[in-house]
Amino acid sequence: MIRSFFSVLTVTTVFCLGYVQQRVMLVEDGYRVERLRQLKDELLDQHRVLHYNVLTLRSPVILSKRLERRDIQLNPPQQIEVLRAEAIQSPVSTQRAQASGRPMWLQLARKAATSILGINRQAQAKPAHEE
Amino acid sequence: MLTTAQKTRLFFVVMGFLMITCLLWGRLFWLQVLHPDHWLTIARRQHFQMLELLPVRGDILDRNGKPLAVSIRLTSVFANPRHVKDPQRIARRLAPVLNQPVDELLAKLSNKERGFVWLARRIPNQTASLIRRMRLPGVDLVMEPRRVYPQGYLASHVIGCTDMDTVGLEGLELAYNQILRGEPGWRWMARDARRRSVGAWEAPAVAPRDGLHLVLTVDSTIQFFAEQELERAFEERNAKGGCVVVMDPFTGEVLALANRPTFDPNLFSKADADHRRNRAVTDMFEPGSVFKVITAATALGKGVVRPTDRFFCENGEFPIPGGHILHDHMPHGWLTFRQVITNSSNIGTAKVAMRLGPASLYQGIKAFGFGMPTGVGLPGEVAGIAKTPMEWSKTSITAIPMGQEVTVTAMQLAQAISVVANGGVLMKPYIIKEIRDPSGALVHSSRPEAVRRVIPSAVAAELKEILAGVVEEGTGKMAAVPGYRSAGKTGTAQKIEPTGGYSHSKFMASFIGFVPVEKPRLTIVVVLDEPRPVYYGGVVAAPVFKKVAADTLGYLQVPYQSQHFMMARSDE
Repeated sequence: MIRSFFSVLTVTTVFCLGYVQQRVMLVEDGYRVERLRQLKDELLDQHRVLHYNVLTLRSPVILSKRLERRDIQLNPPQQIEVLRAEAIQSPVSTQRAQASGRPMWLQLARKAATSILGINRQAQAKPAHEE
Repeated sequence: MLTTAQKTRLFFVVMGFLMITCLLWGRLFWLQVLHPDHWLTIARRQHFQMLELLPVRGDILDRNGKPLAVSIRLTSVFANPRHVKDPQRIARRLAPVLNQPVDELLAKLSNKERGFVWLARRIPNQTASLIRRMRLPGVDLVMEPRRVYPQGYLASHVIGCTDMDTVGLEGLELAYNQILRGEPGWRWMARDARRRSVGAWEAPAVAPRDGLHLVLTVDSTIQFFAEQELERAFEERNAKGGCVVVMDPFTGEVLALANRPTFDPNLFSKADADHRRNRAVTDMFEPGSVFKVITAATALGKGVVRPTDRFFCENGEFPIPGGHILHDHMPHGWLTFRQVITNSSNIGTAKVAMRLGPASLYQGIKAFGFGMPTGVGLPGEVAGIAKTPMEWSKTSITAIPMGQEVTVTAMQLAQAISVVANGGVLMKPYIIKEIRDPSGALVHSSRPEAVRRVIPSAVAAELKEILAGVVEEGTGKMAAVPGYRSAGKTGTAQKIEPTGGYSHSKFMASFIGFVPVEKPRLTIVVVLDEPRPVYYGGVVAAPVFKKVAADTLGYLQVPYQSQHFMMARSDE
């Protein structure tokens, strides 16, 4: 009987110790959860502050004040002052090939490469408002 | 084999051990099972604390999603003087970091009667990190929300500002405070013996509901154009105040609303109350000659005049009832109705109004929305004054048609001129385009609202051409926008002196118009209060209209009307 009693006592004690250990682990996990929660809040706050800083840097009001301080006057261009560059094929490259007397197959290959790769193209300015 | 004595000793040891064990278990049973609540309450009070979770205030965005007002959290430093053992040392350590005098900090830290004192609010993150690393006993840090405005003074009168506790004080921050602020939540937080937080995940919690976002009809680029040009005119013309309103005439969307003087909502506590006034809706004034558009529209709409009807303008002096003489700024003889408007003849307009009659004129004034708030949604909007014919004096029939004895706001003028621009319909102006929740989902969307048809579309078309004449050959030549045909009306209104009577030195200069004439994209109203020394609307306000219109049409990529571009270019 005493042996059974001590067996029960031992088992109960082991379970109790196990329960206490579990609670301790839970509390430790709780510390970690709180630390991570605080870290998440800090990172969110930092993100918002950085976002605000970026917005401020992009603000036309802030930019114009900075330009004013440095005495730089900028006016938006009038529509007639805006030219768009458009690429066109240059006749120069093919003409040069013909004049040099190169074989036809070489000329064709060169022409194909020029059109695919856009080599020797000349930009031509076109007023934007004519479109 | 144990002896009897040994067995007896063993028995007593075991019994003693059993008794102690039973006592311990009994005590445990008594504490844990029979009386748990009492101890749980004490433990909860010591270990648990309800923490309020503050919501994030909703952003205010322009129509393209660019933030105009956002919320961030900054650290504030506080102390519990009762837990501060060495206030002198702590004050000496904190003073250079917080940039405060040692004595001031020492006074706060030594005040044992208080359990909480602020040492500094919303300090930079680097300073907060430094203080955190110091681990000063009795000193702690807390995050506090702060409202910031990354665009500075841009649209400041529309957005408004908040106080230290992010409660709206003015503008949309005030009008939509309930929507923007959200709802706080709460959770239980466990603390150990060292007051460290332990995640109490089994405890109930309510997440905060963040505030909703406001998406405005304002375009921050157009707003910037309006602010820049208004600032320039305000400075160059030594004006006392001014405002610019840019509107879409077909929908009523307010694309820009600028006022001078202005303020930076980031520094609202340093701003004068006068600078924070949203003059475009809160200030009413006698509009002067711009009001002739209303008279002309009403007369044409009622069919009492045609553009080719001729009126004798008395060579500039016209005696009116009451012994007064009505003057034109330049003497004219016979003018067509069109010429009466393009040359802004007071006498011609008075004669048109006399033909129209008080009742019809008043009807037209009310139909255009005067005498009542526009309902744009900005706080502090006034109705203006439009007297009923019963309250008119003998001279009112000559005064009101040219914009005296009636008071209006800039927003009402924008709404009215939009009637002509869009073909005759009064559109309700609005400034809130959408309301969205924090995830971006649409909660509410505003739609253009047609209030009523004011004039037939044929009349609006006729009036458009007459107002185009004002810019092409009349008093509004400085409002001509290169590349486009614009239309509008100038105004130079005498202000009333405090002692009564009209001033000869104080004027409200204005220009109201729309562009392009054929298919208007913009309605622009410019008002300058007491410009000096030059005060004519056609000279001080019209150029502001021209520049804002030119910049905005370029930004909106509205194609040139090439003929008029060539004409305008040849004039330069």
